[in-house]
Amino acid sequence: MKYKNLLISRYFLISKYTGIIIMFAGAAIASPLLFLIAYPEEAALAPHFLLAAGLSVLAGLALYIYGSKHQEKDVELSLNEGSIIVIFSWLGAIFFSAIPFITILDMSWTHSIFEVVSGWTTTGLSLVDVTTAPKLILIWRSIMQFFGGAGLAVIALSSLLPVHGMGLYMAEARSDKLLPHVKRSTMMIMKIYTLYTIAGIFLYYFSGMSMFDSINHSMAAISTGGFSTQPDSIGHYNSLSIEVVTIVLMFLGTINFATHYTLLKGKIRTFFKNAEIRLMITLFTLLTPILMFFSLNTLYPRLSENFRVTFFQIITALSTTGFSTISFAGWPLFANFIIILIMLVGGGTGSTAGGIKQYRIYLIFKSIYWEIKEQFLPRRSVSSNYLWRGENKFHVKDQHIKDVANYIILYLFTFFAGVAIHTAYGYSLLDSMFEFGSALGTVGLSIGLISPAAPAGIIWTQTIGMFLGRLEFFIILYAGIKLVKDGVYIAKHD
Amino acid sequence: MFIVIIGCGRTGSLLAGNLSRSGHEVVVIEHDPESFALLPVDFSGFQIEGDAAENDILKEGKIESADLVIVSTGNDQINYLVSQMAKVNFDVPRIMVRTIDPAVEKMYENEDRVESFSQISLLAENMINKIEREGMR
Repeated sequence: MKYKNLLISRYFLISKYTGIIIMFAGAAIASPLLFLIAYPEEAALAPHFLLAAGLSVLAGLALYIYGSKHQEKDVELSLNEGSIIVIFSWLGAIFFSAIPFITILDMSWTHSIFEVVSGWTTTGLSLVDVTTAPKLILIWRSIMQFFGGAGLAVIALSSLLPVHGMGLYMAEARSDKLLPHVKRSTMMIMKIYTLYTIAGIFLYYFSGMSMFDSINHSMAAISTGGFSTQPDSIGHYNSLSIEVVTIVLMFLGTINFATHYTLLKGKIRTFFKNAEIRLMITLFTLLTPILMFFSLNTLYPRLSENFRVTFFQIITALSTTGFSTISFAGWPLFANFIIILIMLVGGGTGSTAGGIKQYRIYLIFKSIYWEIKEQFLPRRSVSSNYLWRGENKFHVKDQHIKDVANYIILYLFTFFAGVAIHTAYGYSLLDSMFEFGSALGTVGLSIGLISPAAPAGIIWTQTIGMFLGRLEFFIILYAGIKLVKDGVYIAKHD
Repeated sequence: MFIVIIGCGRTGSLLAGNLSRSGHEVVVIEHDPESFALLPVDFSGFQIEGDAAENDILKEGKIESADLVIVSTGNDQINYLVSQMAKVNFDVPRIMVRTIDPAVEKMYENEDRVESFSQISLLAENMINKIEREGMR
């Protein structure tokens, strides 16, 4: 009985925190209205955004008041409870964010949810026709990516929530701590993130983009999102300086915030020792020439053009951003396959990127190397295996390798399941792998499969893929299992 | 405040949990990784596994920028050594040391910046106070 009461009181707490985050999402939905100052001609759209924002704040407030009824002092949140809060606040935010797309653009629920999930998860696959969409909708898509990149719980922790938030922080796949306190860590993340975005806006502007496009592209690049205001993405501008700015921003976006912190403190040598940075440099130096000389040299005969195109597409796939300067549909099979592999690898842990994450890949390759090395060492020798993470040496234990290997297997399993669904709809194996790898890794590159005409089953498969990829599977499993277990317990002990 | 806690046993983990919850930045240094399990779930500071008597481990915990160092291992010799290292090598402005054997307290008597807390003296003092307040019954 006592345990049941305890469980119920925990759920009141969960409801309270979820309420706070959904209220915050409501404020985010209202934020595009700030741009009415610059575009007063779109004032007619304001009620739609106010409706969605109002509903969201009301729902959040209801949850908050309901949860505050049973207030217990000094409670701590475990990872499982944090997972439940993160998932429900994400679902809430996704639901309410979809409303403007439905009321303004007259899109169906399926398409709107797809678009919104693509925004919040920083994927960048889109069903909206950007040439006709109003400016407010365009900026709202970019704002979703900006907030989704940092993570709802992280933003909420940095400003609103009380300090008991370790479980929440871990649940949103932001496991590296920058400073020895959650609140300071999240505030530092927001500072770094906002600083880069503002810098990005000015860089784009000086490279010849209009102010509106600069704001949109900067938010979408640093969050590794990839929504563009142009139908043919960055390729529209055909400008080298804009491409260079994009490359820099995507590169910054895909680096772990803890690593950024090392860099900002001026520790260049520790920065280059970092596992993820090493893997990234290796991949660039290895794959760029392979793609250039074994596959794309017939398509782009000029060396400089070949390098420019190849390097941009590699970094857009690796950083899981999804801006592109060309169309992948005409690329040779081998080049597309390499891009699929890069999309599976993805960005850095604790960054805004998706995919399996470079850290995990690096660790698995290292562990294979360690295994082989140990085979040839004397029988009683002891070795201590480590790699560099953030600013510190990290000694790797077997348990950690097991966790990472499990994650990779689960990721690949989901990938193949999604590809199977796509092929069942009659798409070719290459298209299926490319599209679902792009959705699951929250990349947003498309080979042309996703369009408003695509069947609903495909759209939902990709929607679920993006959601799983962003929140990293396990917390969704934890949250689901905990909900079912607790529900059964409460029902049984009435 | 930035606090480094050395030793994460029952005392260290309790201190670390409460200080982290009230908003301080806390780093815990402990030799035995299993002891970290004593920390509460919402402890959000750093955990460093290693021997605090090594300079490099203290440096990893950024002890030179600490506002306060709490030394609470279960060994008086180590406590004394670490408190001296914190004071002399790293110039920490304030050091709190836990002592096991009340006799050791004397060693800290004339040290500036170092305060010692003896659990046994505190216990005895508490009991004596209570006896004196309530009188013999």
